Amino acid sequence: MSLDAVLQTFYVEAKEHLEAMENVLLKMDEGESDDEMLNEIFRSAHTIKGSAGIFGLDHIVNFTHVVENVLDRVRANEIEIEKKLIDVLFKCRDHIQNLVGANLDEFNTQPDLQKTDQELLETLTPWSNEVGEQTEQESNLPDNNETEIISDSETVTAENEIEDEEKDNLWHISLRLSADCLRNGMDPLSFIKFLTTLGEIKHVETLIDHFPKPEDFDAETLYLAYEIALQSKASFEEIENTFMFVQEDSAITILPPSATVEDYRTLIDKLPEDNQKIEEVLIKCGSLTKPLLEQDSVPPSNAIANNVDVPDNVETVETDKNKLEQLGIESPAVTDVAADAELTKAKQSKTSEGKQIRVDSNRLDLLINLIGELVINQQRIELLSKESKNPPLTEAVDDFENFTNQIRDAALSLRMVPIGGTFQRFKRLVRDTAQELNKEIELTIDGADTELDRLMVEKLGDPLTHIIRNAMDHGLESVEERVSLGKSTKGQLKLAAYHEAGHIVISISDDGSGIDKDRVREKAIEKGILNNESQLNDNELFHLIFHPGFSTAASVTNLSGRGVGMDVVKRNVEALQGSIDISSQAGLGSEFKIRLPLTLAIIDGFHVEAKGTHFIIPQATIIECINLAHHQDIKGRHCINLRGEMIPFLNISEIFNLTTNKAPSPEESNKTDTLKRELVIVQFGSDIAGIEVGTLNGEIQTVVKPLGPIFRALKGIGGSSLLGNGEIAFILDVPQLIELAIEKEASSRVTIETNTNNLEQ
Amino acid sequence: MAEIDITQKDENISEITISGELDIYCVMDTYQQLFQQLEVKEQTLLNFGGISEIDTAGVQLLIMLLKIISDKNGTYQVTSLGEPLADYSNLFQLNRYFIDFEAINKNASTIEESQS
Amino acid sequence: MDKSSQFLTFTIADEHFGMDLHQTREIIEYAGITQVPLMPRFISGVINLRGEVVPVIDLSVRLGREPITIHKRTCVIVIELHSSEQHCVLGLLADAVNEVIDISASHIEDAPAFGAKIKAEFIQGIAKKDDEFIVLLNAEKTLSPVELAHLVEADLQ
Repeated sequence: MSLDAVLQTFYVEAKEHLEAMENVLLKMDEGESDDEMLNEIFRSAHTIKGSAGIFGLDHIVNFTHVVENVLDRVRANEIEIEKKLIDVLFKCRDHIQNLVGANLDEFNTQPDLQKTDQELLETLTPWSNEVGEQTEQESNLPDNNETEIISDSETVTAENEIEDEEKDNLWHISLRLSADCLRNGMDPLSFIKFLTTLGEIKHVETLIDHFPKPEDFDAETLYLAYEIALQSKASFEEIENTFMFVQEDSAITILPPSATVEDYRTLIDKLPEDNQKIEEVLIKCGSLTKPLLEQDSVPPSNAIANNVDVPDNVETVETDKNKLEQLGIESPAVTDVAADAELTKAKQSKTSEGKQIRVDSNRLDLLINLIGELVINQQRIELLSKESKNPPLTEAVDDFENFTNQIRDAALSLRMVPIGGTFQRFKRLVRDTAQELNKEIELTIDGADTELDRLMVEKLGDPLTHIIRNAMDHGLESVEERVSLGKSTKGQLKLAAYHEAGHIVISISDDGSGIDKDRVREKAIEKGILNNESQLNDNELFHLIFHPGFSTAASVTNLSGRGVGMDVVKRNVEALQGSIDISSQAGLGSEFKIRLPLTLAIIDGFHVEAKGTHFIIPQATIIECINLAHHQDIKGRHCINLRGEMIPFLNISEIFNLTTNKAPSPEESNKTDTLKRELVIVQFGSDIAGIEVGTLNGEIQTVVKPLGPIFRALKGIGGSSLLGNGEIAFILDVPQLIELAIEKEASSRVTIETNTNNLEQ
Repeated sequence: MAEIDITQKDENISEITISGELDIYCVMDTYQQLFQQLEVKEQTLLNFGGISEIDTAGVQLLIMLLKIISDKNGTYQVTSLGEPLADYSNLFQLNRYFIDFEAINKNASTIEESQS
Repeated sequence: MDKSSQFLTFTIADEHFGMDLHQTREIIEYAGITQVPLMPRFISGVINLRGEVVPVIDLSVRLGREPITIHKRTCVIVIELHSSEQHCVLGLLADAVNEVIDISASHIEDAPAFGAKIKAEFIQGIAKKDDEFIVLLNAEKTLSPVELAHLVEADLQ
């Protein structure tokens, strides 16, 4: 793991904690408050500060420290949560986010950031300074813990607990860090320094056993190993988190105060160094006393044996599960009571989180890419096995296919994340925007557990933001308006996600004024988007709002209404192979439905060919395939009568200007194309259309390979894919393709219209 | 960038002076230079007083140096630690490597006495 | 000190070109190409490079010449560009790849401000070897994905 990657982990973590903080603040804002919540927000701030400290990001440490103190005082009931404080905390949270976004140099060179920093710190003073406690911002070295003790000192029981728990807090940490640790910019120094913020380091033993011969010494490789005795009231998680950035390739053992002799034995056996030597080291650390390990042979050494009742034989120790901390050396407690308060809770949450592991998304992408290759290879093998006409082989290949599909599904599910996280973020947006607009808006969320591809989740943020802003700005009315209309004062905004026929639907609905059809029409004509005579159905009309430069807002606000955004919405959703449907009723509200495929990486498709070029039509869009020879075109237009329904169709070769002679492989001939005319009937949203192709080659499972930025402007093709024989096929983007066909037809129709106009004149 | 100076005090004694920044960015070069020039005498005086900045990579290099000297049956005496190294050494309780063993043993026993 | 850089030289229609060796990744035989619908002529198509779909550029068209004629010895130079936004892998069609040569900075002349048959901004400099001129291409300019994407967009409209 390079330093960049490690920092990346920090950013991801920080982001999550910032989200957690925001969620708690939002709940507080709604008047909720309980210990759990307060602990959670405190813990988030505490962790951000701690991790930032490891990287020497002092600007984050300094600011977050003050916020943490305030939160701690809230938690200790020293100060009350009031609206004003929540507002400030919101700002502080945002500021921390900005600080996390900027590195130290950027912070030092950005007066804006520094100014906000100062201002917020000043605003915080009424809450942070009351007891006259000294906030030591400069360092987070051990002495700082005192501030936290002061803040909790009023609870007498807590102090009693300290005494009881003194014996309980000697941890042992064994570090065999990755050899690349130094090279990657992680210095053990920073871990030790951070540990001192969690408690007192009783002993560090630096082992030099692993040094190579002088001529083999690589000065950038870490050879040192560490055994550390730490007296701390921190939770396992907090201590463990110290090392979260070096876990890779490192052997880190953290033995809690409750560790048994057996645990230590395991550790001793596990460590690469000589057992006896390690024993000695552990004894030096004070983590272990000699008698315990040697009880069956040598009598305890006087120098180290404390007033501890040593059991007579090993069996007793094991069955009694005597805790090692009883053997620990007692010393005055320097403890972090505040951090301890959630010890139990942290442990509880640990059990559920223990089942989760964090994986670099790049690795996941790599895995999915490789599985894509596997799928392609499997298809090639299937092809060959069919040709070989060897039944046992075919059977084996069938099994293989079965497993490949299972692996594929399992791998893809790894990348699925619940949409809830994305939805949650809008709570803040809605709160702030509602305040700004002076409207009362309540956001409800439904189907937060619905999972979709992480890649899509990331790209959904922008379009959702635009739609939600739009709904708040133009859709939902002000309180007065709502009252006069007989609606409840609070405007309702609803975000929902659910599955529907192999797709995921995300719906954004409101109970506002709805889209004014006449106004849209008027505006579209005014902007020259729409022709005066054009007849459009509701959906088509509503879709005009996605046209670049379109805006119906009577007044331009700073939120939306500038006409930028909605066209971006459409483009973003289409880039995800999705579509948007709009329904709206005047006076009752609107609903935007975004329909998305389940995943982007691998799709089930239908392989077709036209003039030697291979195409794949996403299976989810296909209704049926028919042979055009049995149907008649309706009077020269690209339309057929399918069971009484008029279906327009497009010819793929025409639309893409395909010509066979351009095809580079000369042996490919066009003999089939002219004879056979196959039609694939596709549906997208409410549109049904046909795509005329040369040959139908059957269903295929295919890995989507993006075509790259150069082809961004190419419409109708969403990506590419490799066939079993290594050839490249293009994946059709059906909605874009239909749009392209409509555009083409429209432009030809316009010429006809202008011609007839001329005649009339 | 750290600077190394090796001088021969007399036939049996040499002095190694390391100064400047001794960190991950330069340990590679520094070690190469050091390893090439190093000729272990009976006694080596080590002056680290001029080290202005040190990290774990730097400390590791110094420990390697101490190891080389003692592996070749030489003795060493650290004449000056300098503040950065002293701080580091205190934090990691490395003094016994740098300061002679007698002193650290004496210190250890006095602590025990005061505790009991 | 006279700094020299390594260039891969290749030929398109009797003209010699050079490209910074660091930007080139490999050279492969031309084994057919899949045309991408509706693309302007400077984009020959895409190829399957060990599972990666890589666009192939007809440099000749890009530099304002006639399209390259495909023959037996046509090859594809795979280049890798690292722009600020992303890295980009592209194939270039060439009639022949010649050699890798060291050219010292002092032997590179500036691109002529006028009179050249190629846009000056595409040229990093001109070098001379054995009485032949080698046009050293500025790949970032000539093959910038952003620029190429704009050209495609313009062509499609």
